[in-house]
Parts: sequence; C-alpha cells; structure tokens
Amino acid sequence: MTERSDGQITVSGLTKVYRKVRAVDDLSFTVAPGRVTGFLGPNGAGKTTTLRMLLNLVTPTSGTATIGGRHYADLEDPIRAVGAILEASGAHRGRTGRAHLKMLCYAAGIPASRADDVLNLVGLTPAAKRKFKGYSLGMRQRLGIGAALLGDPQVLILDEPANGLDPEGIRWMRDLLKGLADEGRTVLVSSHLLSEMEILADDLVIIAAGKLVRQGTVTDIIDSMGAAQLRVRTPKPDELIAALDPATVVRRNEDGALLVSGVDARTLGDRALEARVPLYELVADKPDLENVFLQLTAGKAAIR
Amino acid sequence: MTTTVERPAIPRAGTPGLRLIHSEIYKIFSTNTWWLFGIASLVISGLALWANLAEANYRLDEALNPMPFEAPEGMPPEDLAQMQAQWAADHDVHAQVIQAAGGIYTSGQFFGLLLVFLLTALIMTNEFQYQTATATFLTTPRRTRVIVGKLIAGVSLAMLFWFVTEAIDIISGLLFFNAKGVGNGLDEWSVQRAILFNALAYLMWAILGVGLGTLIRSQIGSIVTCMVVYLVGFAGTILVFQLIHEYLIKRDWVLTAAVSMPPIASQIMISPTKLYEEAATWWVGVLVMLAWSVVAGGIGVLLTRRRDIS
Repeated sequence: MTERSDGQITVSGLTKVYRKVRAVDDLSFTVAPGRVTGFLGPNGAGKTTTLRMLLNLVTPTSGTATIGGRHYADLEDPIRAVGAILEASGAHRGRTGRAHLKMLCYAAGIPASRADDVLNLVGLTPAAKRKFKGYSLGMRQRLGIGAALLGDPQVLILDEPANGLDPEGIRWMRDLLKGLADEGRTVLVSSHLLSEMEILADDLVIIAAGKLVRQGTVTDIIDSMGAAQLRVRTPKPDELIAALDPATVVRRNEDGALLVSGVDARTLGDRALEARVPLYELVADKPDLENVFLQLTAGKAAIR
Repeated sequence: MTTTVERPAIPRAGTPGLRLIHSEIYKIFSTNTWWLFGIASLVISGLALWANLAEANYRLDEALNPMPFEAPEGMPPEDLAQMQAQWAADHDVHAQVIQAAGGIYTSGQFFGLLLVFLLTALIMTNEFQYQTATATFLTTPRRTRVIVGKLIAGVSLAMLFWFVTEAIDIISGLLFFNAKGVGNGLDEWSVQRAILFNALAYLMWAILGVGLGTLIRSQIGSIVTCMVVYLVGFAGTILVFQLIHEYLIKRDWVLTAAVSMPPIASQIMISPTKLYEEAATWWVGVLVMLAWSVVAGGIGVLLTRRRDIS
C-alpha cells in the first residue's frame, strides 16, 4: 500500500485576461485526492480556461496552477501523472480510435498494447478499427476518457465528460469516476449537469464570471443555503407540535403534511415516540443543488 | 474513507528521444493522406518518366542512325562550320545519353517536390484542423520538441518519396538504355549530381514545408501559400526581378538576387549548368533554402510556444 498524497491540485491567484475581459479573475481553490470534485459555473464562467491553464495549454496572465506541487510542463511523464479530456472532437477524422490511442502511447513511452486495454476498459473494443468520423458523440467521449486513462494517472481532469452520453453512458462514467476516486485518485470534473453532479461529486468548486463563488463539500454547500426542513405526516399534528420545542418552526402544507425546521429528524422521531404520535412520513426536504447553484450565481452569469 | 489500491505500474516502452519521432511517423501513416499523395506522386512521376523516355528514344535514334551530313550549297563558311558542329553534337551518342539520363533519373521531380512540400506543411496544420494539438501538447508539454519531432518525421517521409521515385526512375532508365544498347550515364558526375541534388531538393522543400505549416497553422491558409510559393513563385519571381532590372535598377546583380526567393533558389540548386547567365552558384541556392526554412520554422516555434492552444 502506497499512500498517494501527491495528487493535490492547487490553483492560486490564477488570472487570465483576454483583451479587456477577465476570463479568470484571481481564482484560488484546491482539489483533494481520493474525492470527486465538481467544477461548476455558468457558461462563460472561465471553467475551460482554468482547466487549460492548469494543463499548460493556455498561459496565465498571472497566478499559478499546480498538480502535486508542480507545474504541468515540469512533470516528467505528464501522461502518467495526469489524464485529461478537454474536447470531444479531438481526433483526426480519418484515423481509427485504436490508432489515435497508439500514437499517444508512442509519444508517451507507453506500450502500444495499453491502447487495447483502454479500449476494452471504455467499451470501445468493437469500434477499435473504425475511423473516428464514424463515431457517435458518446463514442468520442469514451475514446477521450480512454486517452485520459492511458497512463493510469493519479489525477484526472475532465471537461464536460458527460456531454453526448446516453443515460447508460452517464451511469457508466459515474461509476468509473467514483471508482477512480476510491482508488485514491484526484478527479476534477467540470459540468453543468447539476443533478448529475449532486450524485457524482463529493466536493464542489463553483465559479462565476471568473471568480470563486463557493468551495466545499456538496452537503455543506447545500446546507449553507437554508436549513434543511423536515416533511412530516401524522394523523395527530397538534399533539406532535405540542411535543416539540417552542422554538421549532412548523408550517402546515396544503397537502396536509407538516414542514418543520429547527430540529433534526432523529429528535423529532424520538419526541413523537415519547408522545405516542404515529408518523406516516418523515423526510429531510433539502434544497437541491440546482436551486443552490442558481442562487449563488444569480446575476453573475451574464455574457461578458 | 479512501482506500488506496496498489496498481501494477505500466512499463516504459520506446527509446527516449525517438518516441516523439515514432509517434509523428505513426501519425503520418495512420491516415490515408500519405498514400493519396504517394499515388499522385507515382502517377505524375510515371507520366514524366514516359515523356522523358519518349524524347530520349527519339534523340538516341537520331544519334545512332545518322544520315550523312549534307552541306547546303552556297552557304557561307562560318554558318557551315556552326551547322557541322551542331550536327556533330546531335550525333554524339555519349553526350545524348548523358543529357537524357539527367532527365530520366529525376523524372517527376517538379510535382514530387510540390507534393512533399504540401504533405510536410499538413503534418503541422492537421493538429489544429482536427484539434489533436491538445492531445499532442498534453502528452509532450515541451512544444519545441514536438516541432523537432515533426521535422524529422517530415524529412524521413520526403526521403522515402525521393527513394521510391528514384528507384522507379533508375530501374526504368537502366532497362531503357540497355534496350537501346548504349551506356547508362550513371558513371558520369553530372548524372550522379542530378540524382543527389534531387534528394537535396526533397530535403529542402520538406524542411520549408514544416516551417511554413508551423508558421501558418490554418490548413487552407498554408495549402494556398504552398501552392502560390511553389507554382506561381518561379515565373512570378523571375518576372518581378526582370521588371526591376528593366525599369528600376539596371544592374546585373538584380537578376542574381532572384536567388533569394525559394523557387529560384531550388532551381539554381538543382541545375547542373547555370540556369541563366547572371544566376548565382548552386550552394547559394542551398543556403537560401535553409535560411527560409530556419526563418519560417523559427518564427513558427516562437509563436507555437507562446500561443494558447484552445
């Protein structure tokens, strides 16, 4: 067992100015190994530019972005350290999927047989000898993920990997990424599919207009946007309210349920038992990520 | 809780330093562009070879079966002497063989060079046309290395094109001269020079192609530039320098200076005799070709290092 603690991504004061637009503006955040981190922001928030600066494809105006404490360009064997997918269409139309992976293997000093292993891993073996122009969007994404996995990297950086995947493909990718994070790898995924991110990610980095809006675990960020309320159904609502602390706020919903805040589910359940009030439903009714995201980025998503 | 799984490390493959070249050569041969260009090159070389053989056949027949020299009556002695000399030259079998051999052994050079020029420019522009530049520069963040890898791959490809055309030309030429029952001219320096400098021309245009593709990364932009430089370049440059000579600077060095443009430099380099009276010597042509490649490639490398890949 080797502890892989070298995969932390650190972005510090990162800024990119295009002409007069500050595409990324003094952005700082960290991404921890062993977790899936969602990188969220409205269109044009600077997600892709940030990822490209992290990977030495775009030169920052100022600030630094490092992976395991080193700049991407200084990594000895970048493909073995970091796997990235940045765009779905990044292969020659006339080249087969297998040839695309093999040319990367040759450049990176990875045995060419690894191309076949990876094709198998992403489920593209039947299409290995087909030309890229015949690939569907989902197959192109799978090929991109395969390319990112060639070097069995400690860090994975994926820009909108779910684009073009069908529901089965999305579930496949979710399981794959969670599995990779469980193996101790760093997984940074940008997306605007909020419901998917809520299931997939452990941590979130939310940016808007090039600036950091919020960083934290998914739970913390959602909780921060309003206390969780409980949805309760009981045939004896008045007796239940009497059994709760006076500070507890209770509203009666139109459908007959009670919406309770200021108490957690366990306490409420215990009090109901003590008061011999039967409960037919007890659900934590949390605001979802979509609502939280829209609140956090409200007014910042304008086209710049 | 995170559990760390021990994974078997992926072994290293390939020789450091040669990996990039291997990858670049594989890129060339894993799409159909190279063989489409190869077939075009073969067809054009074949046609040129056929034309050269037909002409040589006619001239050699003339030389081998001379009609006796008949002096027209009442011709002044100076004209007669000139005519006799011309007759002698036309019927000098050895000289005719050498003349024919130089052409036959370099058949298809004109379009072969253009195809190699285009193909090597495409090596670079394809990366941006098909957005593979991202994958390429992620694998090798040191961008200058990528360009050097492409240069070596491009030069190797040009040498392959030269070798195949040359093999076809020489084999056909040998069969032809053998059938005619004359020498094959391969022992003559001027013929050897034509073959060797043909290789040099392939080399130079390949280097220039990579340089140009690095400088102009738009696919269509660099193809058009290649075509203009190569096809319009020769006649256009000569015309421009002649006009300057005629109307602006009436000195002979103006005509010599035409070597500064790649198409003229290439012709001056290949030509066994002086291309025109004021032409510079052959090695000036080589230097000019190299200088253009270094300038185009150098600016291209600087831009590629600085430009954002998006």
